Amino acid sequence: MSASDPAMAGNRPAALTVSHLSIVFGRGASALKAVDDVSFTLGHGEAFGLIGESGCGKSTVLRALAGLNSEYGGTIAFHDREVPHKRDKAFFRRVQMVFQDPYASLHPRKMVQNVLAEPLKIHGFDRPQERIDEILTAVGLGPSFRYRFPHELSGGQRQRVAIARALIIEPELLLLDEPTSALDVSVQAEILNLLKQLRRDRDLTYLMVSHDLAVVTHLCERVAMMSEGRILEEMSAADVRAGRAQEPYTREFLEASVGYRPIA
Amino acid sequence: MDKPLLEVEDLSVTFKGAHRTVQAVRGISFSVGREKVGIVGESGSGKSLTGRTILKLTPKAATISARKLSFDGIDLLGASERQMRTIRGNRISMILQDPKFSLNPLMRVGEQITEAYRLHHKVGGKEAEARALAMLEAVKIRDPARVFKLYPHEVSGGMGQRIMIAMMLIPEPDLIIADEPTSALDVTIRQQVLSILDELVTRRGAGLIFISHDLNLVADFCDRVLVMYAGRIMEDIPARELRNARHPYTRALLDSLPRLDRQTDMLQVPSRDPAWLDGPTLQSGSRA
Amino acid sequence: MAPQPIDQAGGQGLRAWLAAPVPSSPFQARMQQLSLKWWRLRANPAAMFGLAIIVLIALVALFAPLVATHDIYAQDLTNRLQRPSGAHWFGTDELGRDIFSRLVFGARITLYIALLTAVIAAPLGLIIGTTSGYLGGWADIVLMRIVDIFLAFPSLVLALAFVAALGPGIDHAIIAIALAAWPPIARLARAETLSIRKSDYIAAVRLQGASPLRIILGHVVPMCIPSVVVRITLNMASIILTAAGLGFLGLGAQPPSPEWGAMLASGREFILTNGWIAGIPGLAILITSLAFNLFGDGLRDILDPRHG
Repeated sequence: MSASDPAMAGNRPAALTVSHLSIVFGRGASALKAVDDVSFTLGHGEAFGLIGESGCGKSTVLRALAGLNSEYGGTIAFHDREVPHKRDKAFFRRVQMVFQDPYASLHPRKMVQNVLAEPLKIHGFDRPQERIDEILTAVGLGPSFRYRFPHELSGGQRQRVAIARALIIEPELLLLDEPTSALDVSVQAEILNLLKQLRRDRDLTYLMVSHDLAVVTHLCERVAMMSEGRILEEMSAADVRAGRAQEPYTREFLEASVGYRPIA
Repeated sequence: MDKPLLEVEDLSVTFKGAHRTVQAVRGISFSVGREKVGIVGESGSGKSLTGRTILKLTPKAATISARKLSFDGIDLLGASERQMRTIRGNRISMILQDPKFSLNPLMRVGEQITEAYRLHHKVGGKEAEARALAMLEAVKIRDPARVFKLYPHEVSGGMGQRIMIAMMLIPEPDLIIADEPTSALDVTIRQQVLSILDELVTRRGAGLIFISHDLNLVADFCDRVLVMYAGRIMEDIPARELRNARHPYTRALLDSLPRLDRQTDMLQVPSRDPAWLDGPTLQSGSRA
Repeated sequence: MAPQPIDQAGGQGLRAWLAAPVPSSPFQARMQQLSLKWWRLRANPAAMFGLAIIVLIALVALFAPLVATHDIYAQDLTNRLQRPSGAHWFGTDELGRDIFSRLVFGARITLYIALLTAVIAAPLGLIIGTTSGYLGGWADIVLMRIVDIFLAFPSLVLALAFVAALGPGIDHAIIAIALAAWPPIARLARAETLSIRKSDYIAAVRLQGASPLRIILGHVVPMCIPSVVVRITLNMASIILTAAGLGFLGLGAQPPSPEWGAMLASGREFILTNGWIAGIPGLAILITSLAFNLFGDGLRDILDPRHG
């Protein structure tokens, strides 16, 4: 493990601590260990990335953290307090998630306004109308988008609405599941900029999952390489850029991510 | 370079809708020789449609018009559906993004490859089978005899795509159109699949049109790159010079990518100039 | 903050209001969506034909006292079994009653049965199907076995059994038909729910801390409504036929009520000599069922996301 960057987890109070997380799908002979003894700590205000190829278990970790899958072993602690396997409302109020596919994550028959009003209603926030206008402006859409339906929006606009939905109840930890992989590069740039800006403005903590090394290192200070359900190694973004990887698999992944090199 | 394989001049594809008519490809011209030509662009730029138009696999609502659309001296525009069938697969083949949708789920992998070969070559079953096995070996499948008997759902994504390549290359086509052939694959597998494609195309001296959204990949993999935006070719540039492209759109796309080699704070978000919609194609770099 | 009225199109009237690129109120946004659907429905002549017939029948039923030319209960045995003529447009039946007028009042009964059945069966099936599909586990097993039991009987036999137990009559017939009509809708809603509950937008509301009740009613049900509406519209035909069947068997509407099935039954004796007595209510049943089917098909094209 590398600990080159001083501004990393150690110096900040831990927001999220994952210890010995294991997730098994299926039973008996067909049981599949999707996540195998995964541990990491996420400092408050930090951006941390989980990276790996499809099926490495990174999204499974994220879904378990979010509370979408309560069948896991090990412990997940939020601000040093273990969270129950079945999450409560107080947890959701502070931890929100942005999904990969903005075409699937918005209810097709709900107007933007209703999408944003729902979490406010659930958590009993005051001044819903002001908050909706405020968040729509913050994600770069503006109040005129209130009465639009998802099918009237482009992919980038939808992802902005999804980000607005996650942020409207002012959470502190945002789980990002490949938030730009379904988008074009120019739209990806917009969304990455937005995420960076919002993190600064709102003092957010990010946990991002992606297969795209360039995207993760752009947004996160620290990344963990996952393969076959395990974390192989943790690196700082600077390590990744310099190609300082310990494990052979990580090195191969780094090289393949740079571009195509003909195998002689 | 001698006479180009494929010549396209002033190609347009128009969709007639109930309410409005959309021109998805607007008067583009390019040629492809026995080389690897990349077409890059964002979604809606018309890059995939261009690939399909060459094989005349466009939806019913589309009308194709061009001053010239010829492949190896054959006028594709005037070709009948019957003529096109002899060209498709045999002389021009297409590799799609996801092998899951392109392979017949009810047929063994080997049978599909054998059939692809026998469709265009009058040979006996034994010989075709031997050919198919050799082809599976050529795409670096370790145990061809075993894979030959598998059904498509029994193979992984990377292997599926290699099988697709085998199937598409076995009739020995002169031109291969690959539409995002590696987008559904993991980066490490992508590397293998690309090198196989690279090797086979180069060895046979075939032409390749490689459609992708990934500028970095195209820059490394292809010989020449066409950058498309809004149905037009913005820039025609040798791949090794792509990172020094001159067209503002190409530049903007490159700048919008997060980079691994250096840290950037905020990414450039491309602004688009309406003048590009009707501007000429910028011919960049040295021509061969 | 009140939404400021913006008139982007600059034009006046309904058309501009519906075409405004930026809707300024939720109502306007919904109306814009609705008008788009209406435009698409209008492009489908078969569906428009079906809708026209349904509207026509509904109007006739609504204004039956004005449309009818004779007293529907007045017997006139001197004028029995008359052929269609200027005095009796559709002729008279075996008791000398005017068939046209009876048909007009019969439309009331038919629509009453069809609508009331839909109003009972659709919400029942929808709630049971979505709950079963969303909750899964034991709730799913128990609810679906109940559905299976209902589905194991042919709907007419089930309806017959209920009417036999409760006694004949229109209201009992409606309850009986509704009891036979909800299980297929529950099945449909459950199947839809199974795919909906796996979607990201449901995961997203779960992560907002929404309760299962809120998710089912606020997020799953709205997604199921279009297909249920389509299904119930297509089912209207079979509901009407079942009602007519019960009437025909003497278990639905009772004479002298002018229910179409009962009219058809009473005309049965004269089918060879005076065919129109049975033929005209039969034709009415046929056309109404056909209209609902055509309209349902058109609705499916515009409401079901998989068809558009």
